[in-house]
Amino acid sequence: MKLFFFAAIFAALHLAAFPYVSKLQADRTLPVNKILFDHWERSGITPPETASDAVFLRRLTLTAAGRLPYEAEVRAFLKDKAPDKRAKWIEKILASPEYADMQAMRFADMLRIKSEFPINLWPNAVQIYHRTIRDDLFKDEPLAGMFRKMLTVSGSNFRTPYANFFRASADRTPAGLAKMVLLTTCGMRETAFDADDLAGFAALFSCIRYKSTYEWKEEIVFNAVEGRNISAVLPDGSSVKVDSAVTDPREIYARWLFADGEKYFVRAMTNRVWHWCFGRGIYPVADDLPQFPGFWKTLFGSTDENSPFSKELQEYLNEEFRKSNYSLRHLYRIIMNSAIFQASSLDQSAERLAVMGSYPLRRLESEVLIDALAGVTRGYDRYSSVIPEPFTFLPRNSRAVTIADGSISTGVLDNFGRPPRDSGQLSERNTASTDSQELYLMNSAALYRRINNYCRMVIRRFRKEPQRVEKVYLDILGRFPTQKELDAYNRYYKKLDKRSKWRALSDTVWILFNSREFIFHH
Amino acid sequence: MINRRDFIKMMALCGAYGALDLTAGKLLPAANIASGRRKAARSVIELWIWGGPSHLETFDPKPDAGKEYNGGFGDIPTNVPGIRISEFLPKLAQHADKYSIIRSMNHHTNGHETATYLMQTGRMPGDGITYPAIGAVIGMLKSGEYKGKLPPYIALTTNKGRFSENGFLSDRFKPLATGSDPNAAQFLVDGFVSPGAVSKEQIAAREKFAAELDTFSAALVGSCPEMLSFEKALSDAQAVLSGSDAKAFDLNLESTETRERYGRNRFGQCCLAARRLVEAGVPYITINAQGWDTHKKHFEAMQKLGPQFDQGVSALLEDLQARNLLDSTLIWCTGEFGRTPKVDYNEPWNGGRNHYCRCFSTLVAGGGFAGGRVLGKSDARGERPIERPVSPVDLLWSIYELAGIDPAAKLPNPRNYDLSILPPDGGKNKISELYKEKI
Repeated sequence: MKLFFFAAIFAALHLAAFPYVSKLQADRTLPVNKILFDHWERSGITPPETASDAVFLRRLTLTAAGRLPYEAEVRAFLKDKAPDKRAKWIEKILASPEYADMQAMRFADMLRIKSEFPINLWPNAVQIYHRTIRDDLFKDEPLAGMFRKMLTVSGSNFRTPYANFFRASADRTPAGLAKMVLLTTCGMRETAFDADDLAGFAALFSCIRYKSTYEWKEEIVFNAVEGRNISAVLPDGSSVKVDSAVTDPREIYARWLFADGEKYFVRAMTNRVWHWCFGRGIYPVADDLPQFPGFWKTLFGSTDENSPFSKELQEYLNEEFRKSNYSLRHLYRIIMNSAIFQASSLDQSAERLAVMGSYPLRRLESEVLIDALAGVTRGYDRYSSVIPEPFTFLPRNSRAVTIADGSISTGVLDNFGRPPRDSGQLSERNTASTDSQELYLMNSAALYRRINNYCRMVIRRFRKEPQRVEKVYLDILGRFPTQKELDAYNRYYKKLDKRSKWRALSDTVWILFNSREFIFHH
Repeated sequence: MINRRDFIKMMALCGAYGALDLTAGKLLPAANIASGRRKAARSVIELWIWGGPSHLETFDPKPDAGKEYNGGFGDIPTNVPGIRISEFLPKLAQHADKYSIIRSMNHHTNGHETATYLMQTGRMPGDGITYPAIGAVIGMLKSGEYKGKLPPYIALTTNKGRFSENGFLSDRFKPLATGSDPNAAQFLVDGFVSPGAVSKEQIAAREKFAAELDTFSAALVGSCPEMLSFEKALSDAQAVLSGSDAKAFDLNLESTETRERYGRNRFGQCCLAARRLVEAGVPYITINAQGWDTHKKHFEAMQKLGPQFDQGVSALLEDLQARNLLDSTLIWCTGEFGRTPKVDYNEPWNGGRNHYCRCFSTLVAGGGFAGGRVLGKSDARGERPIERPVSPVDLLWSIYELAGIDPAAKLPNPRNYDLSILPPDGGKNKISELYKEKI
């Protein structure tokens, strides 16, 4: 009797969960999955169920390319019978131009790319810097090489794109630059260091100078050759002497970062990419990483609150990143093929989330959410710069993800927590929900208008009600409606009087836009 | 206050600083230092004359400085003997008993963005931290006593756009930029004001339908902090939609006569909307006026800007006093700086004025400020303060103090920075000469 009762609950749960989970078993021969399954077993939880194909495709496309999958993509993917279709589609999305756009947005957040206060890069510099990063990411340039350029080049902000790295800091004192470099290249804050070591580290950035030219707002970044003998301390505590007339002290740091200090760089990047995929790092706070433990700490165990949920996984990703010659695309590839990226998100209990035993729910990023609304309804906002010298207007139908300049924004983008790009910290991007966000989604005149335009288009294109419902479900949620949902629609449709039948579809679209299934990464 | 260790733990659980939003209301100390003495100002209206208004054509006219400086425009007497203001402001001249003028404002930065930041935060940039603007701070610290459902900091109609005004505070203390035009047939604040009539029955039916379609929520087990934050936002939003708070934006509820009195233009109707928001209890409202960055043909521009400003601000002062709200509403009106006293008659400026930070004027009224006084004095050409120079911090200190907030107090914040609202020693030269009662 008891057994029957449990079975019934199980069956009921499964039926309700139908569009979201798959019977597919994760491939435990993949090294990353082996590590994850061992981790789950040690943590005392069952491995998570696998997300359905539709959920996977939506998750993959949103995370890697910052957009919803198109109707045709959903249909093709669900039809695809190949056993390795998930791996194949990961490659496809990672190779798309939108992948580069999305990664460039994340890099621009990290590198604080904006024209205005307090970074003041200025529009021309923003454009060339952002464009170069986007193109390099599209070509999958080794990240070590990109960062080496940022750390070492000298030149004009308008002509040498990566020279903007040392301009993009709200605080240009050596100490301020040191903090900025630690955060960006090591994912660490000044709180992880003694004041003396920090001052020693700042010495490496004490020879950076800026000078203006006859071109308005042009600025040249260079190393002051003053022949000074600098005693500096590197983040691992080792000391070094530099003659700045012979060697640019920045060069010393770059050499260290890709040799002895390489583990700092690798750990910072793997944690950021994990954060971009799951909203948290392998170390939960992905850019406030602790100092590597010294001899005694290694012996007695680390007591830091921010520690990796799986050391093995951290090690494995580090190794893969190295072996791929610091390829960003490869990191995404490994993570997206893993059992955790393909896990169901339906169980959000604290116990599971605490050990990364479920895919974590979180609100879509501001730009991605606004683009999703605009992409479905074909109604984009217009973006322009507030700086009058000269005015910049982005082309019509520009996606918010592609906005290079953090200073170009709208009230709606700000409302949904777009980062100001002041500090470069991951936490600047706020994915919490507020009432004014909900009011926008529920009650915006502009959005109502777009919903109605979109419905008119769908109604013109499809003659039968079920086809129309199917279309809006595929567009908005990236899946087919269930029979239950279709039945509910029919009941609602029948109840409306003849003159307001049109409202059935527009109310459905409104409901889907306001649903958790749309608003959240799930 | 939570410490760093708890904070990291909390983040480990929820994976987002944003979750702190849930507790932000509870973290705030009762900051009312004025209790027991006079009542602190309940609301603040900031009239932000974006771009920098010329002090010579507003509150510090120089009729004897010659055309090179005053463009041939003079001054007029006010209803307070001894105070004269620009001839561009005949209506405001009749209300000088309600406001006071600071003629010796000054600072050291002529760039819009840096000056805006300085005038709004009392700090110079460069230390790597973006401080919150005064509106965000007052909005946050008053959100305990404020029971309304509209956001605590509202910008009419656009943001200043030069920096992120909530600084290191939570996103919820960003100004809500209303957008739309208050002078239009309907002031359509997107999200808050419903564009069309959807009946209660229709909404109820849609809600029921929505519940039937919510397959996802039905399948969810457990609840993460992000989902809790979403549910709270949802119920707050529904309270706005079903409540009457958003009626504050409905200017059609005012008589035609009142609307005319404020002036049928964007600025005038912003002043009217600000009064309605004050009545709704909103702690901080800013009107970000536009068009004052008059590098070219300054005097031609003033012919249009002057009368609108004159009429809107006069009506606001008069109306607040008539409704007994002037004592509880603090008004301050300033640009990020003034404009160069010496007129540039050359091409391409043709009688323009540039940015000028060394000397400019600010108006304060209500909320504990006395009326009919003048603080400080500028030289014969309005180029330097010659008496009682006033810095941005001196001014901000007094605004905070009259709003019942101790500017030396620590500012609770989600990043756990140990920082005070203004530099702790900033109160030395606060403008207490203009207080109605001693604090």
